[in-house]
Amino acid sequence: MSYQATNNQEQMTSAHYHIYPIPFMPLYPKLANAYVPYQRFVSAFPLSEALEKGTLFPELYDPYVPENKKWGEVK
Amino acid sequence: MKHHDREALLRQIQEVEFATLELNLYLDTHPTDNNALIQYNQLSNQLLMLKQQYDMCYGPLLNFGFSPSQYPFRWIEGPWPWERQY
Amino acid sequence: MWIYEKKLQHPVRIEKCDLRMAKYLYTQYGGPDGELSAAIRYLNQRYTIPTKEAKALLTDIGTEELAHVEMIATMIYQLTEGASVEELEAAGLGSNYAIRERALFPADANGVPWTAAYIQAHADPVADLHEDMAAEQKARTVYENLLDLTDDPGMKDALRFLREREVVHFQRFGEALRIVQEYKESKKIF
Repeated sequence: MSYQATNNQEQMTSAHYHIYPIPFMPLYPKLANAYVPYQRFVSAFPLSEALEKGTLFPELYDPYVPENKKWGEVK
Repeated sequence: MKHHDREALLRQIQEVEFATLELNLYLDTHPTDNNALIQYNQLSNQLLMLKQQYDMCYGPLLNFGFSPSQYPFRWIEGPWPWERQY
Repeated sequence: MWIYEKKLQHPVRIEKCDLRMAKYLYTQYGGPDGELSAAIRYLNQRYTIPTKEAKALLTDIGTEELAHVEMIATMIYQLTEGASVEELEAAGLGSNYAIRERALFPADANGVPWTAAYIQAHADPVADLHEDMAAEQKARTVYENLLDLTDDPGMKDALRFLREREVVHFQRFGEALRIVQEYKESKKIF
């Protein structure tokens, strides 16, 4: 199958559940590809806390720490 | 006092709806995660009940027929979300 | 079709009148990495994205971004609502007053109007999803800049919430990209 052909809208919208489950990281990573780890839903914040924090998922909560902005001062 | 109750119910709706939104985005990329789907459906039912309760007590939350109205048409009554009194 | 809900996604409580901050907030209203750019970018890309996951995701995140436009506009509106002309002038909003009094306008912090040149669309799922992921990172860092510029607890709450949404959206677009990558790989094997 040519790489070009996969851009075809018909082919990608057809049932493709065979790709699931998608691993946390690719089994065979390829150069010049960027990969984001695939989330697995395991736990949730209480609902009031989720609205305050901006996410329901504890593993995705990554608040701003102003000190971390200072790149020049890394030991 | 009445205003306080409205705020509390609204806050509860915001909390439940935020959780369903988060699960919705998660399910968009994890359509086969049945555990997440079960939680999504449970929270959707809860959200529907809370919104019906809000409509009855404080006027329509949604437009275009999703919230019925008393006479005169209550949709036009403030406060709107961007107003301080809201 | 869209339905309006008479509520904000997250409460906005402005405790002190800070007009200087209202001017800075404009960057997330009509600026390049702002919420309006985000909403239009995703809602416009969805027509040509090939996977069903990404069609749903662009629709849903695009819709959420409209709720963020509303939050930012609410903050600007409440900050500028009761301000005197002198106060607006002192905060650098005098030129805005000259053109449109206290009306809101989708422009950046310097008054430069919003333009479609802030967004992109290529119908290539890899290119479009990378654009979207980059946009989320740029918006995240702008929220950090805005957090550095205010001490108001209510303002910080809303900005922290909006910043965290950028983190979550990045994750979801990254997963949508993984799906496209896995799909391409599977087409090579079968």
